[in-house]
Amino acid sequence: MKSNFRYFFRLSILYWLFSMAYALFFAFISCDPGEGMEDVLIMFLVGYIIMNLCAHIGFYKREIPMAISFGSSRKNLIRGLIFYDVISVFLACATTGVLSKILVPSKILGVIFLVTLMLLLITNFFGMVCGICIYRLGKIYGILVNIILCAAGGAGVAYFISAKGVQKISNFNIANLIPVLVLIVLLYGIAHLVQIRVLRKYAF
Amino acid sequence: MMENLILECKGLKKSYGKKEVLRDINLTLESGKIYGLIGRNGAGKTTLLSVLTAQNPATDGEITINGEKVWENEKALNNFCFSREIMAGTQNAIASMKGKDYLKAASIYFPYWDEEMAEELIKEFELDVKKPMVKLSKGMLSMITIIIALASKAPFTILDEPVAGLDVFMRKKFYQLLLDEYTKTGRTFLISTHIIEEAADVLEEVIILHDGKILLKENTQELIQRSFRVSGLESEVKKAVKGLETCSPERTGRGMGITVMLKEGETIDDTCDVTIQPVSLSDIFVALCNEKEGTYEK
Repeated sequence: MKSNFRYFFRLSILYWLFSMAYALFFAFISCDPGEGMEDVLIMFLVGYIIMNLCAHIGFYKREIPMAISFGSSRKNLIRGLIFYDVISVFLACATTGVLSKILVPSKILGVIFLVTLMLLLITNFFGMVCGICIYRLGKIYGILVNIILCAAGGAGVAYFISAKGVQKISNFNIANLIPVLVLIVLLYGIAHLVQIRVLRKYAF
Repeated sequence: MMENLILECKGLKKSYGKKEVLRDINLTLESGKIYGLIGRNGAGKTTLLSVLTAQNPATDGEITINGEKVWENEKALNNFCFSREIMAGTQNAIASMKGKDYLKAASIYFPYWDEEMAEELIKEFELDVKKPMVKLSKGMLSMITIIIALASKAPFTILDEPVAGLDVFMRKKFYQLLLDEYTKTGRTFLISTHIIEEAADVLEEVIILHDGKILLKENTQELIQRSFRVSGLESEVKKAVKGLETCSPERTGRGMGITVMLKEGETIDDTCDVTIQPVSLSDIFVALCNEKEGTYEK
């Protein structure tokens, strides 16, 4: 079904555009003035991760059950999801690479690029797990699972693997992480609403 | 006219855990007919329809269309439209969509979709498709499933309780639209319904599903014409129906009523002092499925 791929392609472009805008917003509101650009970029990645998770959850909550009810085969859907993931990872890496070039010293460009790729691969997996949880467990438990994985996987990994994070490991205090996690949970809710109410309107 | 397709189901079984919902179903559906699937609540109708259309995997058995397996076969799946009840409610992500967005999604997935027909039907039903489906009544949701079924132009179109929630005026409209579409295209329709008498005039063949098994699959008019209710004194009734296939006996004092289903060449002994009355399709259905009051005797 060629129209299936067109649909997933348009969806992936739209999610990417909104993810970029959302992630930038998230990055700038969550960093204090005077903080280095590395922190901005890290929070940008976290924001993007949240949006990516939302996209997968959305697929499993609605697009996939709907597509199956309309007669699409599961193989075709998985191909569409992989297609979406490949495009979104490529676009995110490309965007992060460009931003890194502009915002930070070039010596850590490679690190950030690799971190982006790794995080997105991890979150695509988490996204699928979360999406399946929502599909199977229902909205409340699925969202709880998603929040836990998002907070632990996205924010934690992004924070500790970054250059700044490695320096701060010895001084790690969970109290410093809690406000970030609370912010992520709050902004996840906004991302979810934006995704449901706005994004899909333009996906067809 | 549509390509000649034959949907076959052999040895079909479906279980949910230890509970067996469908038991050894063998069914052949030919193209160019309107089939009715009737059964009690919990008989397995929706499960059967969802397994036939590969939305639900079978536990055992095989489903083919012109010899090709249906499961995960895009070419085979393109022949189907399974239009089922949309469950309204805020917890359902699909129900939160607007009607027009849901119909637009359907147009993406059904390769033979007729957009002009969909728009005509929206006007015919006076449906406000800009509203989220969660705000639509049960009847309006039924209209959406009917629009999808008819506009899909799928060679095999299956409707699960399409008239649930529709008033009598809209039900008559639906049956008329169905017949018009069938006459124009020769598509195959399989309709599951509880409103049996209204649908009886439209259904060419009826399939009765009971407790996960197919009790009967037969031409509707032939079934009605060979079925009678015989009543009178018990001794006379037993004499009149001796050797015939009977079911659902009812005794009131010395009197008795029993449903008879005649095979070719058989007759009821009308020399006996009994009353012989024709029965409706719903009466036949009740008689066949009646577990407590009657037995199905040959």
